Amino acid sequence: MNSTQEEEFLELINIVDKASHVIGYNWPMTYFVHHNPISRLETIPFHKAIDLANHFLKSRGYLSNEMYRKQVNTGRIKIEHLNAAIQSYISKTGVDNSVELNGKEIKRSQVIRAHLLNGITAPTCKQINEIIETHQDEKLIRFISKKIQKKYVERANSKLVYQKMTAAEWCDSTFGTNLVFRVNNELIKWCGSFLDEGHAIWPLPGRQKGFYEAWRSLAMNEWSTCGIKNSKKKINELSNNPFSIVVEKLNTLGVPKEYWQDYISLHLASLHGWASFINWRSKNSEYEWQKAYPIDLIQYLGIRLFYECELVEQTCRHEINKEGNFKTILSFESSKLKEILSIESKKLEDSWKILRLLEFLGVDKNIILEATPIKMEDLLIWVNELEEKEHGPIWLDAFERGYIDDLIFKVNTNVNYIAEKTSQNQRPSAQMIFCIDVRSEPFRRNLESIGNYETYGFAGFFGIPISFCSYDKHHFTAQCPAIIHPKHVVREVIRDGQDKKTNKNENVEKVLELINNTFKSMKNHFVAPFAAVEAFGWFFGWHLIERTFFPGVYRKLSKPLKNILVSPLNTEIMINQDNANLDLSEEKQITYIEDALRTIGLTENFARLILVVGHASLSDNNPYEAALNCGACGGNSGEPNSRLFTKIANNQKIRQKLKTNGINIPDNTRFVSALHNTTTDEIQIYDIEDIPEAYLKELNALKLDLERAAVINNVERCKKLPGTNKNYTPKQAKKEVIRRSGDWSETRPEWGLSGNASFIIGRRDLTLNVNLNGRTFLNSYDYTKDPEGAFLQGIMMGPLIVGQWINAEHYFSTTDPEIFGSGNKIYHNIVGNVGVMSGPQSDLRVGLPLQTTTIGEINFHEPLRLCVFVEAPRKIIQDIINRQASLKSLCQNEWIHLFSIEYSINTEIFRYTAVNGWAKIQ
Amino acid sequence: MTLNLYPILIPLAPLFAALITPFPVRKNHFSNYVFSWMLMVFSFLASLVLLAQVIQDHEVKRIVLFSWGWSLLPEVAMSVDRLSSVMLVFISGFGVLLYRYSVRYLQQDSGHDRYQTLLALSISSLLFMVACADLFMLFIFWQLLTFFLSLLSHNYSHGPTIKSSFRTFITLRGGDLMFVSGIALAYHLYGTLEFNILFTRASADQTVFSIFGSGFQISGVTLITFLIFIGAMSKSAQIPLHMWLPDSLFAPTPIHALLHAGLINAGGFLLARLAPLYSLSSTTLHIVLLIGFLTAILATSMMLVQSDIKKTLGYSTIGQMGFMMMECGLGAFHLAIFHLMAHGIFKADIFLNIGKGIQNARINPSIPFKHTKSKITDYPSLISAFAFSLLFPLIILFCSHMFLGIHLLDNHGSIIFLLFSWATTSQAMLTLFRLGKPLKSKIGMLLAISFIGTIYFFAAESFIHFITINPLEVEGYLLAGALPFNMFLLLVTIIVLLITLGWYFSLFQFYDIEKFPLGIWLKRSIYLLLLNRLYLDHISEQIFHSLRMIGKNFNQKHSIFIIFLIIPILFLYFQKATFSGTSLETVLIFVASALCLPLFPIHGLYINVVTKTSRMPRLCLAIFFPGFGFYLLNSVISELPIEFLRLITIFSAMGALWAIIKTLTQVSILSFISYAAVALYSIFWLVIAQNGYISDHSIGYLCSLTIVVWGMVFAMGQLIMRYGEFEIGDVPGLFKTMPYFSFLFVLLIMVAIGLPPFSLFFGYIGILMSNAIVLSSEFVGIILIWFFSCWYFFQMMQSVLFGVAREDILYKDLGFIEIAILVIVVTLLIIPVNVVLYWLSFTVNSFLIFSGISL
Repeated sequence: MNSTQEEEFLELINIVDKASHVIGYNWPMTYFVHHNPISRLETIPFHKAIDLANHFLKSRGYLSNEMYRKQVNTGRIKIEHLNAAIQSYISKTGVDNSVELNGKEIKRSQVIRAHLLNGITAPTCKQINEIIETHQDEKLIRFISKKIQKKYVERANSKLVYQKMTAAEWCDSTFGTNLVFRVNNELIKWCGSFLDEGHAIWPLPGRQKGFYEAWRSLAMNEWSTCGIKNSKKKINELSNNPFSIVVEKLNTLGVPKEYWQDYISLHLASLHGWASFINWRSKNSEYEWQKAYPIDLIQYLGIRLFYECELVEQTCRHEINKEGNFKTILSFESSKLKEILSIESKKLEDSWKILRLLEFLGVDKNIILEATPIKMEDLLIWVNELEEKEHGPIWLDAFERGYIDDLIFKVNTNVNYIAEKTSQNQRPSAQMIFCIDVRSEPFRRNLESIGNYETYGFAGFFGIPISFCSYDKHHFTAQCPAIIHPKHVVREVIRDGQDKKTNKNENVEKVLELINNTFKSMKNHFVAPFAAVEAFGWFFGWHLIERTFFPGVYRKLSKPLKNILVSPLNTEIMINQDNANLDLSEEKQITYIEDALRTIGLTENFARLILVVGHASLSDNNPYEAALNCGACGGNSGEPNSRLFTKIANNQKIRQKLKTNGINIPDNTRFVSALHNTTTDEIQIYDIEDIPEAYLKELNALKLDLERAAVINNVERCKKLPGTNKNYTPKQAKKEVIRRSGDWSETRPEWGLSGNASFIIGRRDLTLNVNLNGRTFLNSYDYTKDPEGAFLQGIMMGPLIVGQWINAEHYFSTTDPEIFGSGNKIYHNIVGNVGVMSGPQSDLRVGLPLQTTTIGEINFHEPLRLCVFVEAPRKIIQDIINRQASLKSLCQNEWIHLFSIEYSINTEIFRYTAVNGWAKIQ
Repeated sequence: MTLNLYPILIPLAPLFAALITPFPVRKNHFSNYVFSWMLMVFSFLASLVLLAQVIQDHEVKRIVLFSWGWSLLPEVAMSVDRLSSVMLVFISGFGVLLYRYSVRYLQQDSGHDRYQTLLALSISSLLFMVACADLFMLFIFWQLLTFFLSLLSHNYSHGPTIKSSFRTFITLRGGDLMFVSGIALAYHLYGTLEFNILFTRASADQTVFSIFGSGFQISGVTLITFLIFIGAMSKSAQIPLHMWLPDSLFAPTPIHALLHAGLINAGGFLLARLAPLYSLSSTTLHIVLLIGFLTAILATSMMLVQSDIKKTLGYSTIGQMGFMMMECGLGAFHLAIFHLMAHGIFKADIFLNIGKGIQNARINPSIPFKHTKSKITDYPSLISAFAFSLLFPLIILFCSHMFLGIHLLDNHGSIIFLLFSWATTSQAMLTLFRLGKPLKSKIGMLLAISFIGTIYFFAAESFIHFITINPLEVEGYLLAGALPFNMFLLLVTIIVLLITLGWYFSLFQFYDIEKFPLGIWLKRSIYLLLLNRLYLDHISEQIFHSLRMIGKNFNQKHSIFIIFLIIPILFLYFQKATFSGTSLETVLIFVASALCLPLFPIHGLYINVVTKTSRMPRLCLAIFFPGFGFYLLNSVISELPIEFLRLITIFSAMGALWAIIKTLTQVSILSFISYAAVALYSIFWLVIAQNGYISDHSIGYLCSLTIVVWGMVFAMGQLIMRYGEFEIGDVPGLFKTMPYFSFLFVLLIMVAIGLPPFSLFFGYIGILMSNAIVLSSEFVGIILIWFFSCWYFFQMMQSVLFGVAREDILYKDLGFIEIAILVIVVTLLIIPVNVVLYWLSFTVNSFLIFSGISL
């Protein structure tokens, strides 16, 4: 490669990278990462980013207007909030002027409100004449249409063909072919086989050479490729460098260089699920599968453009006998007669709109008879400038106002209430540190209502990014949020004195593995499976019956039964490894614990028992299981992190050091690790062996209280879940949640993080006794102990970002379940152990399924941007924002709403906006 | 009802469950489904009781439900023997299970009620099907299953589904029509469709046909069984009719469990049910064996390269179905039943547990395959391993057979099954050798495999002897399936070769393949072949594409019409037909009747009447025209000379072809319907031209056809009133937005594609089964027209009902009066055709007398 080629190559990489901003990244589903599907557009304002994504992905960034109107009907969106949102829209786009009709004043805001609430659209032009013929107001409509003198100007479409559609799409729309479908199917076939991570019994040969080479070496032997004539020869002649194919094909198609980025974006958006997964893989060269079988977007595009180019050429030759490139397309487009709808029907359309508008305003229709054309046109402009598809931002504003007002009201009343309470420095029965996850909130609230307990919220990996290997596994899991890399390696080891059991287990496992492998080898063969199925098929009958009819029993008994076969072993976490780099040294241990405790403000008044509670979910037959687990632990269970934290915090040496650093943990304080099961609310306690006997009595009492809290929470949870009786007794509720956790036909074992809408960084007192409905991330933070804002910065750059990812994932999966979400679960088909498709052949699905966001036709999750409340002085927050560009861009581009809670004489809440800075909320 | 009739409740209970599901007590709530589920449970319990009763009896029983005077089906009866009661237990058990699973799985889904209804209907039809005592009733439920399955395999708001579910439908429907041809032939030859009598008469019958007058001779029973087997092939997804199965994977997951555990077994059940008939024709059995064998090997190989779970399971099922067919082909019909039940349980379990895959991959992630494979160094141990894994299974198999006292080498079937068992066990041995380190567990596993093998042989043996009480019968079947010695040797050689190839490939997995001769080439080309599914989809796509292009050309070029016209005239010219002796008046009346009852080439008037007039005249004329045409025709039919009748035959055949092509290329919905109707009216013309008079059956056919066409014109007219003139595919997605309309429209489509219990179906049957038609070339023509009418009516239904509803249209469902009218139309069509017929023949006769006077 010479230097000019190299330059071109770098340039192309740059272009492709920019073009890939609309598709973002897609993680493998085995560790589901909640993320913003258009996170790479976060550098531009929210609404603009949505428009951009809509253009390329043909997606929808807001709920449908119909949905918002439903929310008005149910009272969720109040008219006052809608009015406020309209005012804010008007203030951005002009003034609220008015038109006077027959003595009646009609304001612009009124018109917009009527438009929003009712949707003033005319029937399509094709239909309008027929419909008006039978309409009761035919005469009136015709009268108005005669009066309108407006000149209709074709809105010039500034977008060129390259930005609107690919050449294949153009062929499809012009000649009625199905090129895009064919190209997509071909790529799904190759991507599915290449990206497979161990599903296919016979994997694609030659993968180690990379996607493009693997494809080339196979496709040139294919009898027929996608209907391309002479494909064998053509593929054989292709260069072995995908980069030059991309350049060559773009030139053949005649796309000018300045539009390459847009054109490539269109191509990537066509199968955005697969493309974004490839994008992720190419950026994670450390990923094992990527290391073994490299793939990147340029290889993908090379293949894609080859197919497109050949097919377009073939089609154009066949249909109009011209070359298949944009020159042909442009000349064809300009020669095509522009279909201009008759002015008459346009006028009819507009008069229809006026009439509807008057109806919705509750004005007598006949006053229009006296209106001058100018006045009518004013009305029309207000309606027409805000087309139905542009309503989203106003609706979203109104929707958010309702939630924010409600939350502020709750916090305000509570703060006043707390202020009245004199702080009693009594030692609590126990303290507990939960994950910030929204599912912790109801449990914490219910637990606090039972006894004298103090709870804290902290990101569920407890600040220690580790890579963990459990004692019976050979692989490591990354136990930290996806935004950081694990820094330490930690293993689970078997405690001493269990050799006999260990030996027995090993033998049992060997036998089980043998059986499993033997069975598999009989199944995965082309002559062997027939007799095997006949002989073994019957044994599956019991499984089938048990799982369908007795899911609760299955859930309860599966573990004890397994324990008979493989005896449970007592294990512990081993901190120190041989590798010095990844070692968790004593200094680091101290820093981690100290930072954690200082961040949440737990530096004094320690209770005798401090529970460190991780969380995990329990569900069956659920491909989205990882999405329900702890997001801060990379879609895994939070158990290892909690056990590690406890182990360090109970270490006397560490405590001594902490004492010198100013955190005096009493000797009789004991950290205990636990795991919160978010499906059933059971709390399991780990490493009981390490707990001195003196604590056992207290621990038992605590366990009882935890069980009580769990039952209360079960009842609360069942009220929200579909298909449950709303008035369950505690016993029934408990039975129901256990069934859900074990039922293989259950598509909603729990709601997970659905409903999340706000993130509160502050002391628990702020929200104590307030029912936040499980919609809030609660991160404990005491600003009085952090004058510099260093810990606050940690929170805002870590957990807050993760919270925003989770929020955005839910937001977009709800507004467009087909493009940003993964559609209906009932059609899902797991492909290559990395993701799901719908049915046998489709794009790789991204995001969350319909079952996570909706009940029936109504959305359960309210798509709102994250509202962040920080209990800290504005100045400190401002400093952090100024320092951190990504945070600044999130706030200024309105991807999140930022609030500050300050105390002077009273509580004061300020809202941050890019335009006004900090404004006080009344 | 006396207690003896209770078995009829087994299929009736799910039917009732289906009927009450659409009327929810509380919307989107479990209580709607509880009662239906109880009915399913009841059905299961009743079938258990029945099985217990049947075990005690030793003779086959028929339960006569009612008898009537129809010669085709003198009495409706249920067959209660061991085969059907075992199947009843199996299917109703699955019904209970799947119903429960689906209630949770589809919870809160907008189509939940519809789904549960269709599920219950399918289960009910399956139960009816296995309980039938005659071929005719069996066929009725057989084709209903086709329709329900293709409705269920839609994902209603997803584009590609529409295409694939169409493929499902059309493949199955093609099979159905082959099936019905077989039935017509059987009825013609043996005069009955009741199983027991049919079997006795068939064994005594020696009819031989020679195909197209050539020297090629084919016995009646071979032809019948072959035609019926094509029906079985389509339902059981045998290559090359297998492509619908991977396509149907767009359906919700529990449907796959139903499909792979229930519906797809219908082919195997059918063959087992007709075992005495099939054992009469060794030729058919050999064909069955061949197709089954090809399907088994090819589909299972395709399974190996699939990268997603659903397609993997889909191809695995096809392979297993192939094996089931192989068993039938070898005469082991009841072993096939054993196989389909075992496989059904196995596959249903895996399908229902499909979501577990990601969790498994998370807990036990796989690691990319390392490309540092070892070289083979230790030849002796390798050879000993292979020898051991080769020989030891044979010893086990022989021992277990000796132990059970099964005579191994008596028939070909047993030997081939032995080979397959051998393949399985030796594969297991190979794995054991490769993996297991501890000797103890290895020996344990060997013992376990021998034990399970023995149990399996014992179970299969006793199952077969349980189903057929008479051991001689089993032997007879096996003998009928015996192959000529050369073929047998060939088959055994192929199987042994395949087994060796299997080892060769297992070897590849662990050693460096590139070193082997032809390794890379073999690997690549076989892989590509399998990845592209043997290019079969591609070929079928190409065929469809060229057909579409031909159709397009036809539609655009008017000269083709002339060619169509010239062919009959040339024909007449060469036949030297003269029409002397026909009065001008007769000819004029005939032409007038052909104008009204559209006959090519003067069908244009009818088409214009339907497409160009406004709503009210259109509705009136759509029913008046055919009626008037019929009245005119009736008055002149007896005076038409024989040449004239032949002319009608040619014109109607050309007309049918013309109209079918035109229909498939229409874009406006009304002209679509009118051309579709012209094609169907051609059947009527064909029949009367063949008969020379108007038979009762053809009148029945004509009546129901006219009514259903009117119903469609009305329904589409209402849509046009709402949404303006629209083209096909312009207003999709009515399933969600206009549920009442959709339901009634689906019923109309069911009529139009000739599904029971509607009268058009009985019209078709009446025509096809009449003696004058059954062996004539018209028979083929009618079957073809029927097939294509299914083709385009189903496409029309899809284009209107499915797909994503448009956002810019305000949808409005039917009003009360519109519903009432359509309900009346459908009710008119559901009345059994004989009632209409008797009534009609009476009125027509009196009308004739009256008109005769007036003329």
